[in-house]
Amino acid sequence: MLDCGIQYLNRSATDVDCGTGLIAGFYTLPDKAMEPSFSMQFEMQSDLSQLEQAREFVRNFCRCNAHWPVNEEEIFQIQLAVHEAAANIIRHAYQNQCGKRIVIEGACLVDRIMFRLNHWGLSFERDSVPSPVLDGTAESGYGLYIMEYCMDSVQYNFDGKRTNTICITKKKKG
Amino acid sequence: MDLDVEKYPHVTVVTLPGETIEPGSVEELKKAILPLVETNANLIFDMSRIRFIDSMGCGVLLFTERKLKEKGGHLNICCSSPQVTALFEMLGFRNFLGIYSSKEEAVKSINIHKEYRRKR
Repeated sequence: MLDCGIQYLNRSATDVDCGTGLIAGFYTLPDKAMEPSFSMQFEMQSDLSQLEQAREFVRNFCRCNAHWPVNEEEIFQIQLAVHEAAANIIRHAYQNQCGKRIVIEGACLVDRIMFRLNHWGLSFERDSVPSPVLDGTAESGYGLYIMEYCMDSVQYNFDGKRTNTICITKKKKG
Repeated sequence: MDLDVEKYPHVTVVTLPGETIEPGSVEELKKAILPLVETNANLIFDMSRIRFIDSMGCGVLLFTERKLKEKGGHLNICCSSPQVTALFEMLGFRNFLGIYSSKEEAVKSINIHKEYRRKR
């Protein structure tokens, strides 16, 4: 566990140190075609000041990807997408209440990197948010557009047990 | 928040502090910028140290551009991070903001613009 107020979870007997001081545990996805890779969890509070730590988690996690080197442009885009997703959870799902849980799960697969942001706040209807007009007239409303532009896939799920999940995926280029 | 401000003949250059512009600092930044927006027609934001900005941070740039435009002014941005520049392009900022890789280029652009308008 790093001593920076960040909780890294999902440690097990099969954990490995991937060279950045982080701990990664192997796990198997239901789809056999998706090769087992490593995953990590990061838990943060619904506090905007913790977004920087979330971005650092993403950066370190991407650097752990053993399948292909994730370049700086891709790392920035993934960091930005996770940041925007977490900021939306804090502002809208938790309505700026501090002390609520956000669990970020990262998974490296052979051909993609995925992050799932789990929260227990208000659920969200993607279709209720219009796309922004990019003419400089609006000062807000760009968060979802940025997430969806930066990533190959963004999914919003509600599992029926009050866990809401935003799942964002970046595929390997080429 | 203290901002580093440099005066040029037709433009004022404001160096945005720190390496990130994000929710925790946005309101303070906006408050610090407001007096400069009220007393200047043209501004350049020197963002050469900025390595990360989010949608709220971009909102401050759009706010500033709108306020300056209302009085016939303009905002130029100097940005050295390719990732941040790519974000601005993603949001279509090049359609209404001057984006330059150096402060000198950004200042020169405002001066050329002013000279062009004077001759007309």
